[in-house]
Amino acid sequence: MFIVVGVTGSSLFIALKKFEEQYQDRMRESLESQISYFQGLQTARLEQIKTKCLELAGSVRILAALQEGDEEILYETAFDELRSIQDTPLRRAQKVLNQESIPLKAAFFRFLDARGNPIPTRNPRAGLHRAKARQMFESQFSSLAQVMKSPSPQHVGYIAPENDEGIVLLHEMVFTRIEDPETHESLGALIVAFPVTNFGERTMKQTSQLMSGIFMEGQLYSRTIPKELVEPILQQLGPQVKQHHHPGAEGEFEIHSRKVPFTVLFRNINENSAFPPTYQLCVYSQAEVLRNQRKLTLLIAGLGGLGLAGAAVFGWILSHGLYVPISELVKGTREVQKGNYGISIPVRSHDEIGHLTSSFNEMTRDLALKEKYRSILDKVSDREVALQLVSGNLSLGGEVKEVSILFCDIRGFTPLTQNMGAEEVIQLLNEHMTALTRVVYAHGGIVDKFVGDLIMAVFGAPKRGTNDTENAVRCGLALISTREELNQRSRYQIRVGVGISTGSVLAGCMGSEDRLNYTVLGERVNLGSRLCGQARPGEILIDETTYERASNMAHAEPVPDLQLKGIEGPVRAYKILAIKNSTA
Amino acid sequence: MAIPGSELHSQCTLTGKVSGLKPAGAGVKPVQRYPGEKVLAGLPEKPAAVVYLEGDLPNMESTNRVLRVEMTQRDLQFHPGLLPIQVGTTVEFPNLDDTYHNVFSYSKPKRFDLGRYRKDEKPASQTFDKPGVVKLFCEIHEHMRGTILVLETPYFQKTDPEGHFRLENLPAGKFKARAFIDEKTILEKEVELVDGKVTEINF
Repeated sequence: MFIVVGVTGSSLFIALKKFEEQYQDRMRESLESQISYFQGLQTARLEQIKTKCLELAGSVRILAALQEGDEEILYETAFDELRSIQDTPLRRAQKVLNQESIPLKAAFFRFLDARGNPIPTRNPRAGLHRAKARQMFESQFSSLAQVMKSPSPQHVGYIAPENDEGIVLLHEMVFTRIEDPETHESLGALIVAFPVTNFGERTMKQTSQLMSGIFMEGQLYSRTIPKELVEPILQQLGPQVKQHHHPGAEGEFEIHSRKVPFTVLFRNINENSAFPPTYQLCVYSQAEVLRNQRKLTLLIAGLGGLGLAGAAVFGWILSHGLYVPISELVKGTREVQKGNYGISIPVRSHDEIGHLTSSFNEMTRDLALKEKYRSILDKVSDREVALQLVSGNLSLGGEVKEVSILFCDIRGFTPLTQNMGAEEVIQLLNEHMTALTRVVYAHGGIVDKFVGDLIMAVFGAPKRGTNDTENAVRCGLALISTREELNQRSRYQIRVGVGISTGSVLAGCMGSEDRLNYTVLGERVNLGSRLCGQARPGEILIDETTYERASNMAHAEPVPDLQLKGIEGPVRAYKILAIKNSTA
Repeated sequence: MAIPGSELHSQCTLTGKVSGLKPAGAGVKPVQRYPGEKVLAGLPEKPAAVVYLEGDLPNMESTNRVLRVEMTQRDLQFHPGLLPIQVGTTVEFPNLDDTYHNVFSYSKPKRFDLGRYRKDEKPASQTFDKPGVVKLFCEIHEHMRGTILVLETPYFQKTDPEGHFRLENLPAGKFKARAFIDEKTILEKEVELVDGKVTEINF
């Protein structure tokens, strides 16, 4: 899930950054195309004015008047000629383009003599009435000798005198050198000035929030740039302009006002002019841009976050759906490991996990069943035998083994239980058999079978012990004593007799394949059984072989030979007295 | 010839050469420079100078005075290009071209504007009663240049294209001889004229 978060997060971030970039670029493009559109208009207008001025400068009358050096007639003639400027197709064209109507009425004009000094005039038609304005003009142009010598015949300059109403108005001046076409002698120059109406300032402000202005000689002229921006702009503009003082220079920089960043673009508008360089500025606020960016950023981030949250929730649900059943399965498996087969896990879904869970439940049920069989088996046949059976080691057919067989039955069982109810008999027998079985096991023997009140034990099969005969003898004694003990506690007073025989027998699973019994077969077995039958209460009778093998550990006394059913000849038998005290 | 009542003989001669004239051929070439103008511009008159006598001259009224002179417009040029006249002379400006001309001058000694007129119209004329240099232009054909030198003295002569001149019937005495080449170039020399003698000066 972290990976999902990580990947989504980083791709969102990249998308965001790309978007920001693109947005900025788009904004920039749009602004620049606006600016260059207006610049284009401006240039076109200027070109037309320049052409007109050039025409004017070539007018014979102006030439004649200038040569004459008569100020009066010069300005009169000039005014006549200038009339033509005022009614040009340019004006109509502007209206067609639906721009601000830029009045083409020349604000003022002046002639310069051959040395570049202004030819002063009192002619009111020449404009520039106010003394202050006139002074400004004349001082600015007192040193235009250089301009006169410049190879280019026309230059554009800017001046900002006060007009008749006392308002400082920026003017654009077209300086055109007048020379005699025959002699190419420089006769003087004509300066025609037009008021600058905003360079499309208002329109730009309206359509794209662009503020603009003109910067010249350390002063900023603008109607759209607010006062608080002027200072920061001038601070940076001065040095920037010094850096970029080649013609056609342009540049940009950033200012901050009230924590809002603004971008300032500037461009030299009188390239190749001998006049002081003048720059057009365009200022736009990044605030709008940033705001839009931020809005969109938030939107993207919000949507992204939402999507992420949704993915996270979904992911959690999915994993939870997986996690719970899996952990339940794990728990169940552990229980099974511990041996608790009774466990069952609820099936929560119909998917693979559900199948797995139900398979698991089936499996535990089977295991439980098997365990049940197993314990039953253990109970029904000897544990050792059961083990051998389960492991598949025992089969039909047997082997000859050297074993000791012990029989133990209850003396006088029949008269004892004659008057007992069936349940009581069972209870008596179970109590008896439980105790005796434990003794047999304790001495390393197996319980072959129970026949009524008789218990038959084998020592040496299926597995040989260290000393089967001795074990059998000890077992016999233990059986007697255990029964005595039990008699103290139990309500039934029982006395047992034990018979032990030793020898070769046939040992194995006998019966059919479907129903087997592990037992021993042979003449010795009969002998043991008969001996038990002959034993008196609390007596252990053993045969010759047993006696030989056990004589080291037990005292035994011979008894008169016995005639036993099914066995030829008299049988030598002994009775066990006690265990010899071990001296070794 | 002798003027009755004068005591002095006006029998002096002044001759010489003015150098420094612009070489001939300088100026407009006969090309089609006015679109739509059928008439081609011809070559202007070869540059010349005017030599005249100034000073304490007796009897400014001269029998040499010519009362009416012409300055024509021909082949889109003024002919003559430089016309010396004495104060009081009337100049006619006949248009000999098959096109309009509009002769005007802003010069202080005489400002005038003849307006447009054609060949077949009665030529306009002007009387020049102030001395000085009058520069003539044609409003339609901006290359046309003409100069009328209005002089107080009756003793003047236009040189030939090489600059040679010979003034005759001059009064004797000490005078200033001036050579007008153009407005900015007026050369001056002191002369002493002796009756019956030919004085030679070179500018």
